[in-house]
Amino acid sequence: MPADRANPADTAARECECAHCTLPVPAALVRLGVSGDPEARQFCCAGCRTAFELIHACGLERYYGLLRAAGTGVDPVQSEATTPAGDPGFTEQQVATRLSESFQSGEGAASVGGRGDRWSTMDDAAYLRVHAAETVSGLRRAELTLERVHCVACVWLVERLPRLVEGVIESRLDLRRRTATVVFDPARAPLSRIARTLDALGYTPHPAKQVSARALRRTEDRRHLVAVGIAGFLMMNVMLLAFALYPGEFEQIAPEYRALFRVVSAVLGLASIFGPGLVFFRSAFAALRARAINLDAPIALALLVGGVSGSVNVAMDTGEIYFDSLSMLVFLLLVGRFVQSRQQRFAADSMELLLSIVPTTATLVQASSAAAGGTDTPGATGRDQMAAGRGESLREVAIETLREGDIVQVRAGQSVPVDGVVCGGASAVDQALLTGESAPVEVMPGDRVFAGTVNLSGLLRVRAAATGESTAAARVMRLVEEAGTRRPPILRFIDSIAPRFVLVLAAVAVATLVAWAALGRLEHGIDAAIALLIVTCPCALALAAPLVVAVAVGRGARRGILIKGGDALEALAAPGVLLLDKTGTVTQGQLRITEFAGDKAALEMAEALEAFSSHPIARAIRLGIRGETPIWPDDREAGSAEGEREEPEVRDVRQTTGAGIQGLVDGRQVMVGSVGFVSGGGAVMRGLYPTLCDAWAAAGHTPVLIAVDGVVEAAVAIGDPIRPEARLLIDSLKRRGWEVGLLSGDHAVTVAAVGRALGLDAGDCHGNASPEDKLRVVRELRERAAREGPDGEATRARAGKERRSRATPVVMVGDGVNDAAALAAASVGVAVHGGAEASLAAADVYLNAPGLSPIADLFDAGRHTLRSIRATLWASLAYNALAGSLAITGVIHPLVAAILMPLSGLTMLAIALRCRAFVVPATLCPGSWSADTRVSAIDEAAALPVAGPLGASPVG
Amino acid sequence: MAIIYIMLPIALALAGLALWGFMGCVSRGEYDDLDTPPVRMLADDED
Repeated sequence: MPADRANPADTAARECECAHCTLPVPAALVRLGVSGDPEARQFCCAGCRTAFELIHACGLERYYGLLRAAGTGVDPVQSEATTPAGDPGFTEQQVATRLSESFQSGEGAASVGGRGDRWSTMDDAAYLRVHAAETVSGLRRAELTLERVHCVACVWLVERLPRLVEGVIESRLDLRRRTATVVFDPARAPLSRIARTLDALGYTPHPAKQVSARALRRTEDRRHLVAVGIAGFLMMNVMLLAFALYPGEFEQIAPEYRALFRVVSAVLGLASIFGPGLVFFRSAFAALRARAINLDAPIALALLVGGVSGSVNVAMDTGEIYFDSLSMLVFLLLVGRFVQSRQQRFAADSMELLLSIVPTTATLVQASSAAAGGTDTPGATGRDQMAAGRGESLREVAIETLREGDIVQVRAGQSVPVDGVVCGGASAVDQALLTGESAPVEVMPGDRVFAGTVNLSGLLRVRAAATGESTAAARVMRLVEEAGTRRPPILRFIDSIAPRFVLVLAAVAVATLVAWAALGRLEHGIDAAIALLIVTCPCALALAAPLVVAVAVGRGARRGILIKGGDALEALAAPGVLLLDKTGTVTQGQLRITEFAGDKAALEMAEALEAFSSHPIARAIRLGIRGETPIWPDDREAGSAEGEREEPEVRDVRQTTGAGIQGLVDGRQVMVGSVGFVSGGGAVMRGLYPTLCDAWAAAGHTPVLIAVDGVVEAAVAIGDPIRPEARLLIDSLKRRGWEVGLLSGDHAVTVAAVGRALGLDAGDCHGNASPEDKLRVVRELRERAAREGPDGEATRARAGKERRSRATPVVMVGDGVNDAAALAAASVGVAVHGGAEASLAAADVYLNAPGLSPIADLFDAGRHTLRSIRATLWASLAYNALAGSLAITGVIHPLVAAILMPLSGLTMLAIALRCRAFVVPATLCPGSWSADTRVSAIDEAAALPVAGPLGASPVG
Repeated sequence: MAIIYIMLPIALALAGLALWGFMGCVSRGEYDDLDTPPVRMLADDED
């Protein structure tokens, strides 16, 4: 039954939702049943329909209930599989049966009318060797990173894979790492079928990258956890024994039992100190060898002194022992380190996750000596097959297998997989990845193209000149590594405090000794000094400050602000210099219609014509009419522009690469393109159009003319609009004392225009900047900051000592590969949503949500974090003063010490949890900095974040 | 109270058993993923 066009009058009344993703179904796609009413189930796209039918065919309808319970929905399925559902010849039931059969039998997308099958490479023996390990029973285990998993329903569905694909034995999803571990029988369920099914459901799989590095980290984590477990076991037992000893002090415990308990305490205590506690000794000695005193030095000192004196006292059966406090110290510090490393691991994993979601295959053109029998173009579609000449075959291969001289075919919409020279076809490529510019660049045979750029309009054949590590993008990555210094995760100013702490401690201990000796009680003095060394603990530095950072980072991650190292937050506390990239950061990164003049009907005709082009300008024009923010929103509300308007008839479309497009729309000759194209085609520009075009060009926009039947009837200016919140953010920052500048690879004219619009000084806007230029600017600014000091006054250069944490931060915000080196060199590098791989790797912070308000959040968080860290320092100082004075005067007792230590720990924890970083999102309205209203910090407890990146709603 | 000479080692041994079990669990990967099980539980009323 053909789908009738919906009656416009009725669609206004009926809101049809897609049965799978619950987004509204465009009126033109609403299918009507025999009675003329819309059918019970509608779908917004073929992908959603496939997913829905697949789920129902296997009896997994509970998925939708779980989605509702979780309060989330799914995104529309954008898989490569399509279904014959649009084919009027099938009933629903037939489709469902056919689907499940075809998926079971492995025909999959290819048989179901799919466009292209990129999964078949997964069955190659070489691929399986790398990505699917063999298990003992001849099965294979593969790890696949999935897109778009974010809630319980996704977990449930993915773990029901054995029901969807026969031959899958087990499937487990790790929600945080978005990785599914699938155990399958390769004979019954080829990996390609598994991947295809997951893709059809909307969870596009990618092979998990860096498997060996991940395994290494897993082992490390486990070892760490075991150390924590052992320390905990020892601590608890020592505490139990200590509990027996404390009352024994007052109640006259029998000497043999006292001795027993003390001996066992000593054994367990020493095991704790020299077992799990060994890491502190190793770290302290390593630092000492480098002639530095780090934070672990006072801890190691305390452990050593306490252990030795305690053992001596046990042997001589006299004096106090502090093994309970010491083992508690070891346990707490190990827990703190564990929390901290997990936090950092999460941020690093998230970045890695984004890096692993890149295309991994390419279409290789081969002379077809090997094309025999069933391997005839397994990866090619109809269009590709036509493109392959005689004696050639096309194969989808993994990118790693490409060699110099190979010829690859790149379809419109695909990314170029290698650096190389075009040897066939003509098209335009989007080089935004490398240059940050969204304007397309035309290429013809003989032109160079680069890996990572997107082929826009036509089929291209590229002869590979550089692959993998030798591509331009990889070279920039190496630049990143040279420019960036590997900063340690510990807060920097803590490093400077540690030596001072140790010195002060040592001085006081000696003073105590001397004082008591002067009073004639040397032994008492020795005990007091030892007690002093043991109870004064840099808990705040070792435990609390990292905890504050962990809390802040965790909260930030839930907001989509991924911070790699705690020092980024600390560095942002004071105002400094902010450099913004233009494209994608300050602007929306997408070409859109910014101005319009002329006849609206002409624009609609142009839009119909541009439907045949995938050029960004075409997209911009189509967006202006049909997109989410159409130029004329009133049409939308008056009941669906699409249903009302008759689709114009378009014929004879001819595209001239880089200039324009022309064709017959409803019988009228329409030309859309640049000024040169339109006037070269004989159109006449009357009236104000020439001046308008000049004005637009001067403002940095691209003028596009629309000529109907030889006369220019409309013109649009295409540009990259500035984000609305950009001006607000910059104004607030300037009020706070930040210097703001633009640093962009785009044309200087455009950059200057944008800078003016944002209220920036012309001198602060740098255009036409290459990656090296950007790096130089950042470096110069950092040197200037180091010279001038935090108050902007010139101070005498501190010989050899780089002012660290209180130095003016130079913050760079960018997204393209050309920003990467600058990001690494900046004090804090911030990569923005949608950024290139290289900038993700180089940046300290990644903003997963689009827009600039996360930057305000980030700066706020830096201040709050620093404030909380200072609070923990004061608390620690108070604790140490108290405990220290008790120790010096000889009043301290193991019981008192054992009480003070957890007390101080709890205080630190409370302070950390009350930190207000990232608690309330900043609102950018004129006059206010952030909405500092009531804070329910305890509700936002320091639980480790669960999910969040990739824009999905977090769990729980 | 001489019984303490026997009880103390037994207590330690029992605790040690628990520790050994913990280490076994860790090495088998039970603690690798602590975020998905709570989520998985929300759907767990069948099979």
